[in-house]
Formats: sequence, C-alpha cells, structure tokens
Amino acid sequence: MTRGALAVIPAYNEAQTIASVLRGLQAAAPDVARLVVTDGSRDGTAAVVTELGERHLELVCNVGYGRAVQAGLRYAMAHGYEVVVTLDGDGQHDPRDVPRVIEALATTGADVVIGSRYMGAHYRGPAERRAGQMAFSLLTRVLLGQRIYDTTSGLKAMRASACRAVLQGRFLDFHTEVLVRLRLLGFRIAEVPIDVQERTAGRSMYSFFRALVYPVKTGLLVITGILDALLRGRAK
Amino acid sequence: MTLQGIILIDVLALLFVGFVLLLLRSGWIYAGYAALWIASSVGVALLVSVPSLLAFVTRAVGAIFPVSALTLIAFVLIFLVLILFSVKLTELHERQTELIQALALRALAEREPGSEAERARRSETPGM
Repeated sequence: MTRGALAVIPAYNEAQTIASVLRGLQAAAPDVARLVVTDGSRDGTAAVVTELGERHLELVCNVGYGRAVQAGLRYAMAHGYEVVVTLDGDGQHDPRDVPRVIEALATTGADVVIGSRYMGAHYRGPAERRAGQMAFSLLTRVLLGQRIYDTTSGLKAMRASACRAVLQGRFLDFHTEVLVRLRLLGFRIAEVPIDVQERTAGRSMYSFFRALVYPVKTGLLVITGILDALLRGRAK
Repeated sequence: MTLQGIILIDVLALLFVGFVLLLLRSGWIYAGYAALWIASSVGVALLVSVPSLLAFVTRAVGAIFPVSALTLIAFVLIFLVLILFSVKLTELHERQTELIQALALRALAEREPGSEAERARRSETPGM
C-alpha cells in the first residue's frame, strides 16, 4: 500500500513551539500526515504532542538530529509513504512552505527538494554559520558540479527512492554528506527559496564547540560518503 | 637498564596484573580486555627482564637508549588500545541508537489505530 506525504518533525526540547508548528502544518497542508520524533526531550515535548493527539515517535534518549530523522524515515518507508518532508520543530520554518517543496518535486522532477534559506531570500543568520554554509556550498559545486546553496536546511522533501538510499548509508547529521551521497548515486537535487524566522523559544542545537567540530566532522563524512558511493556504484 | 629499574618495572607489572585479575574476579572488566592488559604487562616485564631482547628491540626501533624504546612501545600500545576502545564505543553507541529507534517504532505501532495492541485495549475497556 502506498500513501501520500509524511512530514517528519524532529523535536528536542520544543514543548513551547511544537504545538504551533503542528497547528500551522495542519492548516497549510491538511493532506500531509505528520510524525513528530521527540528526541529524548526533557521538557515535556512528548506530553504536548500526545495531548494534541498527534502521532509521535518517542525516543527515550537524545540520539541527535540525524538519528531522529532516520527513525522518522524508517517509519515512513515501513508504512509506504511516497514522499517525506522534514521540517524543524522550533518554528523556524513556515508550514506554508511544506506544500511548496512537495510540489517542487513534481515541477522540477527532482528526487530531493531543499527549502533554501540562501536562494534569493532575506535570511542572514550568524556570520560563522554563513561562512560555513558558503564553504559547503562551494564544496558541492566542486564535487558534484551542482551548487547547493543551503546544505544544512532542515526543510527537505524527498521521494521514497531517495529515502531508501539515505537509509542504506551512514547517518549523522543528515546534511551535506547525505546530499553528496545522493547526488553521486544519481539522484536529482533541486532548491526552492524559503524564508525562516529566528527561534523565539527553546535552545538552538548550534554552539561554539559544535561550530568548530561540525566542518571537520562533515568533511570526513563527505569523503567517506564519496568513497562509499564510488564503491557501490550507481545503485539507483 | 639498571637492576633497580628492572626490579621496579617487574614489580609494577606484577601489581598491574594483580589489579586486573581483581577487576576480572569482581566482574568489573570483560575477560577479553583483561587478557589484553595482562598480555601487555607480561610483555613489558619480559622485555625489561631479558637484556638481549631489550637491546635487540632498541636497535630495531632506531633508539639509542632502552628507555626510549620502552616509551615508544608504551605509546604505540596505548594508542592501539584507545583506537580499539573508540571502535567499541562507536559499536555500542550504534546498537544503543538502533534499540532506541526500535523501541519507539514498536511503541508507536502498538498505539496506532488498528494495531493488535490497540484492539486489545479497546476490548478491555468497559463500554467500548
């Protein structure tokens, strides 16, 4: 049995924002099923989601963004969803962009559509994040021949074939390394511009330590992803 | 090496082996890791106690003093053990994550409408 689209919303300590995200999504995309993945939250996020009667996966320990998304993708593939959309639980993404990225899968013919903050949008963000993003964007151009402007966007729509390929690989951040791997496996990636809002509640997962470690970690994953894709060949 | 140095290292190795055996007896260390540490201690003690062997190893690693060769061997050994532990930690972390995901997926499957668990709950609830 195949189903339509599933929105996977990883949430770590997002009790203050998750309700508005879910309400906004219900209003903007009523046909899209919703799955919140509460990633070891200690602030009652799971209780809020349960109270709203929303479907959720409750991870008892914090396993990180990538692994929370991975759990959501596993659920989606086990239940025959054709499209998976990921969006953040902190309210930064406008739920009205969800139908836009899903539609873009059809209009562009891509397998993955990224909601891009850096494509003609007004988003600025912290300087160090912009610099890092620019570096990874240029890296995709060099490695893939296609410049991906926003490799770390949390808003992505993916066809089931791309999800299955992602699930076969190593998981960590679900960012640049996944996009590079998918592109090397022959999947098409497109971007549509979106606007985001800075979070108003909760804590960002970005920190000074993470800003130092992230580029090195992602760089290593990109290299191993390339080797992996080359060894496996075009699996698609 | 001086006799005093040899005795000191042998005594330390003996104490170390005893300590690891105590840990093993009380179940605080896995037998595989205990074997690794005991083998390392016995190896170092043997190397120090047989002067011709230590001289050979010193020449082989290009060191001038036996102590330098021993230090190099210790560094390599500790490095390898740390790498082994990193691998084991990663393996454990992967298994833990898989378990956490599987638990969550199973719990959701049981909550979902139409599941056997959900049907059983409904049948147990009076008035339903």
